[in-house]
Amino acid sequence: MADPEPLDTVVLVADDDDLVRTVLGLALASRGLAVVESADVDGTRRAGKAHTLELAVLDVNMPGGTLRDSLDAVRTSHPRLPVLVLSGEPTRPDDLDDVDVEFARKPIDLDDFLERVDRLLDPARNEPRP
Amino acid sequence: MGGLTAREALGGPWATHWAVWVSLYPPTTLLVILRENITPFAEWWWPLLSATLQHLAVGIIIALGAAIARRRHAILPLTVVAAIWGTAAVSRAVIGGFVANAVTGVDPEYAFRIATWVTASALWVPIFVYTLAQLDQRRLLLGALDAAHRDLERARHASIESADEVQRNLRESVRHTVEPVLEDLRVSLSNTGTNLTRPQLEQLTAQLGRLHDDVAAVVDSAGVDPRASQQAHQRASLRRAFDVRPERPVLTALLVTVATIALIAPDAWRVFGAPAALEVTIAAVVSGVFLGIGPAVAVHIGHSVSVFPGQAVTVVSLVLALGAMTQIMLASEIDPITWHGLLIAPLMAVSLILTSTVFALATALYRLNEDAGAELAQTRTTIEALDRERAETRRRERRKLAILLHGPIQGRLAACVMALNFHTAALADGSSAGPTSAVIDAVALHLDDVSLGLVSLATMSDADGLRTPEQG
Repeated sequence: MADPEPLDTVVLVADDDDLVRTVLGLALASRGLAVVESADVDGTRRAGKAHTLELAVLDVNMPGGTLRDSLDAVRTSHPRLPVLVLSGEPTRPDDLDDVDVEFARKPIDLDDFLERVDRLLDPARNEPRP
Repeated sequence: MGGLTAREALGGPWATHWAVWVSLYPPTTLLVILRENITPFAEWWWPLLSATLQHLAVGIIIALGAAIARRRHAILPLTVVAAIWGTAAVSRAVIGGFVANAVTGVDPEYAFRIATWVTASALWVPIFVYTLAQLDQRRLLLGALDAAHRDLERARHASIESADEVQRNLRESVRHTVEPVLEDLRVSLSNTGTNLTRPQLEQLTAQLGRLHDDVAAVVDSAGVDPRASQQAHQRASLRRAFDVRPERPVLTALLVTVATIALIAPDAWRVFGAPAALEVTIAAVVSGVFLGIGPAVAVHIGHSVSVFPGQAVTVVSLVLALGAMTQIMLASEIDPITWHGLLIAPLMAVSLILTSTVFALATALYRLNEDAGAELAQTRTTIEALDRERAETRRRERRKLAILLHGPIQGRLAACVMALNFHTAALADGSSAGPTSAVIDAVALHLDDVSLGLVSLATMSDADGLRTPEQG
């Protein structure tokens, strides 16, 4: 995937399923947010370096590495970046125990997704959800 | 679960059980008939009525005593049990004396009656209660053992299934659950295409959501083993419970002799005089020898012996014992009056049959129950080990399957649900004009991929499955 152009307010959507990336991108765009996409860990790393990210939406399993690798890829350049992890598993992965990220299960409702995005982007409302 | 201790047996439910009360009715009635033989009742049925009244009073005392005592104790202290049955024995004596005195005017002989009933109760009741309690425990243990053996068979059969078979079965379960629903969805989507209305879109989203959940549910439920039945076990038949190898035939014969003499000799002496008591004593001793010698020899030479009347040694011993008793009571001339022996013989026969069975069981049941309890525990341990092993195999294979399903099946289904759901929500708030063909086409393509994924899932080799990477 080609590197996106740098934008002021960017949300990274990283998922190896193009349909998921498309619908999440459309939902975020409806909020007036710019979206960059990546389909693997390498793409995520490149996007992290290329853009000033304000939020990352990460799939729990992507080609090219683990979830930890994906997190490192974005938090190396953005240490305090809010991250929403989406997973097909019903429970939060064990390797997220000591990491400050939001977790949600796929499929997720649009309202739920956008409410989480709004909260993560707004530091005043940034309280963890169960 | 094993043999009941003496306290558990004597203080448990059987201490005040109606079956003990009922089983003691025949011998006590015969004893009352013998006892009242010298009471000049005008009618023949007075002794029978007296015996029945006595027994009813005993029943009431036991029921009341149990109802009160069991409010505080699940297992009654032995002193409480002794007090209940002691009170019952005294009441029996008082009622018998009162009826004799009130109807005929004779001396009620309370002291004699109380002494003999208390002695008879002390000798007979504990052994009856103990034996019935252990016998019931044996029936429970045998029933539990039967169930455990069935479970063991099931666990062994299930453990034969290899990991590959488990994996194949799991895949087939998923395929059979998902495929028909998926096909319906694809047809529905194909027929309506971009003409989908919002309600149709919502319905399609809901169906896809259910399908996604079904995939997860199939994998989860496929890992649940059919567990051993937790229902209460059936008791084994009485015949099986009675099929007990007598352990100490000489001790049994001795106890039978003592119990029979203690029950009958005092009244024989009182009613018919010393010769009758001597005749009873000799008949009981000779019968005891016959009851003990057969099983003792059989046990010594390793022959199979069972308490249950049906085994040759037991039957022959009992027949010989009863025959010897009858011969002595009717023809020994120790008491020259034949009808004395004729009156006493039925009571002796009942006493010999009951005590020989009960005492033989009592001497063997505790150890047998302990052995059965140990076998039950061992069997259950084996079952648990097999179940654990199988559960681990299934957990491992379920995890592999979950990984296989995650991307190609569940991930794509989740993507379809989200796409339709997001699009439906966008339609509702007016931010989208209608379902675009791009979204519908993408969903249809994803469903095609899911269908292909299901086919390859069912046909892939186990080695393929092991190599499949995790996907999100």
